Amino acid sequence: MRSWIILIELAFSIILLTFFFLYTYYSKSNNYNIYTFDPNNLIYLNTSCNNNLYIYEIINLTNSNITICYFGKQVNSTYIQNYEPIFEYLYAGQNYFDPYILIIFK
Amino acid sequence: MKSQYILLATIAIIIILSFITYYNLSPIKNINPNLIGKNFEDQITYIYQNFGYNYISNYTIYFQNYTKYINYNFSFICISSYNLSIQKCTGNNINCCYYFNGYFVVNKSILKYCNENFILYNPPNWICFCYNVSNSDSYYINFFCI
Repeated sequence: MRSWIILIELAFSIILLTFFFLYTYYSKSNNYNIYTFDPNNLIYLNTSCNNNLYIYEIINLTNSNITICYFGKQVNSTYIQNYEPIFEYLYAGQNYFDPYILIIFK
Repeated sequence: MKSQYILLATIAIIIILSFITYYNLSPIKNINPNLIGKNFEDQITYIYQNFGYNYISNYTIYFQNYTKYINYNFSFICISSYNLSIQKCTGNNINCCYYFNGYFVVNKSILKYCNENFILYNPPNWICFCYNVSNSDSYYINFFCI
């Protein structure tokens, strides 16, 4: 009788944990729908951090400067450690040729 | 007693797997070859319209390094009536350009990845790209002219 209870307990735990596993897996990949970002609307994000809607990082490829903007203020990389990149784009430049990578975090 | 060990082991394995999945969803998995290809296409057009064709070769170098960095394979063949200062195609190499004056016969043997077949005349002036973006799961191939 005792062994039956343990077996049922085991089966129940496995089912429960599998659901938890599937939930974390799928909820995570569904939340980050990359198609919601239009690169043309994000070209105005620049290193002056004057946009307070996004958490983003700009990597300037000409001088390798990295700028991280956290809802409108410039911060260091420790601020974004718990955020995940959800959009990446290699822009050629805004007013002149100055390639940079834009990464948006959520 | 034995089943309790199995239970503990299962819990441990599933917790470890959950953590691996949680931290492994890197940006690379959220970007697909299609989006990378569109990035290339849009920015080449943007450069041509706003900065001039001189900068195209520079951008392709940056783009190749970028795709390598995020673990994607990217290669292209271009056909241009301008001299873009990208290396000339000799038939075997990739990431190169065919430069022409007068007319140019476009076909699959030249483009390698794209199945296009037509003749380009200049003028008007042309810059065309056939590119291929791939990772271990999928790929994206497209041909465009500006």
